[in-house]
Amino acid sequence: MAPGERASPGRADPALAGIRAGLLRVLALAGGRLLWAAASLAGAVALIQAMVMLAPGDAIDLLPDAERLRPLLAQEWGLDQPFAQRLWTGVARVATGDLGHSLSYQPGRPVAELLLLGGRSSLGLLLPAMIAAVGGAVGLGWAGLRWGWVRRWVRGLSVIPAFLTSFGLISGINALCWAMMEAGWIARPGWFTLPDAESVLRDALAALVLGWASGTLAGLHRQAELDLQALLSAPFVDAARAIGAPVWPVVARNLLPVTAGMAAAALPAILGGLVVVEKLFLRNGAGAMLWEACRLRDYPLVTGLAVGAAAVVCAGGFGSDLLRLWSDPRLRTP
Amino acid sequence: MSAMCRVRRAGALLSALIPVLAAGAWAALAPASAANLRYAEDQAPGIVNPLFGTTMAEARIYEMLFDGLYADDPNLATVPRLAQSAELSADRMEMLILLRPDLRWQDGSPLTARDVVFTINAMKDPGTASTEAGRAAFIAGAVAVDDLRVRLTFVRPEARPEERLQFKILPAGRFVSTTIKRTDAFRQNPVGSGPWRLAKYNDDNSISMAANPGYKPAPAISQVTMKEVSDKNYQAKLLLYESLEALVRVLPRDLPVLENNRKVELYPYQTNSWWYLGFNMMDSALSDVRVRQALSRSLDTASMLAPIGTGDLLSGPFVRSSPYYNHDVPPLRPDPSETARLLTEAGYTRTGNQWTKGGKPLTLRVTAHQSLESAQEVVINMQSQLQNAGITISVEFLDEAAWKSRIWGAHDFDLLLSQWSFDRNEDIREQFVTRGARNFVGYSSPVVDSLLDTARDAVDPAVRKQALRDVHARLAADAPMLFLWSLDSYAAISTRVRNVLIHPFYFFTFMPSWQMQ
Repeated sequence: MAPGERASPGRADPALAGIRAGLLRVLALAGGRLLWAAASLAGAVALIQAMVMLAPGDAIDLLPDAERLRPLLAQEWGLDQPFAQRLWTGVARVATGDLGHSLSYQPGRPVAELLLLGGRSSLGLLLPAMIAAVGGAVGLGWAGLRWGWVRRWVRGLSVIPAFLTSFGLISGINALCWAMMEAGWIARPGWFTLPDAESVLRDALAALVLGWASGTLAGLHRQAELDLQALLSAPFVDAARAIGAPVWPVVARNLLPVTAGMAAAALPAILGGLVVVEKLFLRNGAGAMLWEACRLRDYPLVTGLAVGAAAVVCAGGFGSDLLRLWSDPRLRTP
Repeated sequence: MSAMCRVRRAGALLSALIPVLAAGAWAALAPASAANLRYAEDQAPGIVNPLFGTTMAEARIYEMLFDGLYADDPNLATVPRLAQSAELSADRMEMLILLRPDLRWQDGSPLTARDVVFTINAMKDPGTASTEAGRAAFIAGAVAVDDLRVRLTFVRPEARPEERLQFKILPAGRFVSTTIKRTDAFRQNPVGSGPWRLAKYNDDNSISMAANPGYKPAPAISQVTMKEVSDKNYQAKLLLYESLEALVRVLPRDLPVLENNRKVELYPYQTNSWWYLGFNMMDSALSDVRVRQALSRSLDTASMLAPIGTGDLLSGPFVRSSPYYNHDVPPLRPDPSETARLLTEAGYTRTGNQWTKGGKPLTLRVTAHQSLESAQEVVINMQSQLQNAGITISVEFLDEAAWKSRIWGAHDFDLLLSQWSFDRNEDIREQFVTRGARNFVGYSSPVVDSLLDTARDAVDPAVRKQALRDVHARLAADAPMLFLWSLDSYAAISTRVRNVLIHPFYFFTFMPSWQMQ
């Protein structure tokens, strides 16, 4: 529409129609995502509950004199119900927003409170790990296009298991620092000894290991290289080159939906890695809590953590979709 | 590769390390934490309430936060703690205990006879489902005569009831009734009468304790921190790097390193713990005593012990320093010819490298607990020895819940590698009496039952000693399990901590007298 021209009555304004279409697309996406999230949550809760319940032993077995205590505690904790009923009760309770209380991890403590405590700690690790993973993948992907050895280096790094990387880093830094302290070169740093003392260094290392180790980086890096290659040879980039405009702003803007998709795709793997990395770095987050809850057959806590993890994955997917919709107008067109 | 390439590669590597180095440099400026006594546990207590203790980590915390009527002195003789004196009736069925007059809870309220009666009733209350109920089972009733006097009546005559009155006393005023749930708010805010009080639960699962100002004599160490270090491999490292002051138990493989460190001192202590290989007597093959004896005779226990540490080989269910250990029964030595004779008598024939019966090879499964230190080495060694003797062995490791369910509940095992730990009473009754709560091997012997009854009811210590020595001999002959060894235990403590005395079971009983530079 030319400037000053008014839309004639009875004819839809193309701009308004575009916004409406975009909104409808977002709403449709949100609805689909919500349905998907609900199904994922129910599935995750049922699956993880079933897995822990089918494992031999229960929370009462862990107590001394378990057989004497069983009749009373089984009723109190609902462990005397048939498997299917326990499973259904667990899912139904979650549906009503009741996560219950911990049985054996911290007996009596509300699961929601533990979830909040563990979730807060894990989020502090998860976000830097995501940035490290996606940022590292894009940066190294770009480098890999120019220098082949970067690709080999990333692939080499990815075959080292996370526990080995963590152990090597922790032991190496500790030994080096201790030797320097013994030689009188430095005073005892506040972060010493890793990973016992809470410190920025410990958290930075944990985030790097979580983001980069055990194949996460290699997978993302491969994707980033392909996407960058496609972007750099895209017609709009050629057009920018042809008119002498800077290429990188165009590439960066078009990279945003790609990185959002990469982040969403990497989220479940990084979330899963929390279990190992938090145990290795002695961080008391949701991952370490899940490990202990499974070991102690703390069904309500396991369920609560599964709900939390599923919710984070769904929210991550939704956030990534919104970001892609916002940054790529083509996706808003029905 | 060109020089430029090398430079670029080095640059890329350096840039990857920059965040790490920067964080390290920044963190290096932060000051080290203030000194207190820090010790490590594999797992932090899930709950701090002595009515619901499940692990040794919890028992050690209770030792610092709570007191009992009686406790051990450094010579392990029972001495009054909250009690001042006591009178035992002539028939030994009643005891009148006088409490010390100056007792206070950590919140300042007076500790009275009412608290003692409350604790006993709470332990015995079926609605409480206390894991400690067994410790009060010998008490038929408890009555507060006045604020300072408690009268206890017993189920049967008690020779030395004070030895069984070491359980921790709780403040009645903090509870609504004697029916207490594990979820009771007390777990988060425990109040005791011990030398330290709980100061804070920290987000990293550690627990900080501060000296109880009202405790007499005041503990010399003002602050104690229990740190959760789930990986045992880290624990010794943390001690070496001075990030801990005490390690409750050192892994055998860490002993040489710690022994050579001038800032760490090792303290050996004798625990009432012993390893065993249990036989499932409900299993058709193992119900035959000759098969059990043959298996026992085919194992060289000394060579199984050597790789995992030092200790004493045993022939019965007590440690060698116990008064109940029967030194007339020697530990078994490996004897292939005796193994062959016993298996032949039991109807097995040697076919090639395998013992068979009715055409079926003798195949057994060894089950061990995942968290049993060095169990893997022992099991592999045992598997190799038994396979050399012609017995096929498979191996499995179970976690705690699976262990309790499969072993204790379903009796689903053949051979079982495990360890029993006892307090000073060394009460093995439930392990060997017919249908005993811990008798999951399914052992039953009227003679042993009768001897165990005699030991339980004996007023004369000599009678108890003789009965338990006879139990030892009988068990060695019946072989419900192969008694393996008691391991030497070492605590490692920083040399900054002085005047260290360790209780073999509760560890921290004598810590009020420890000093720290």
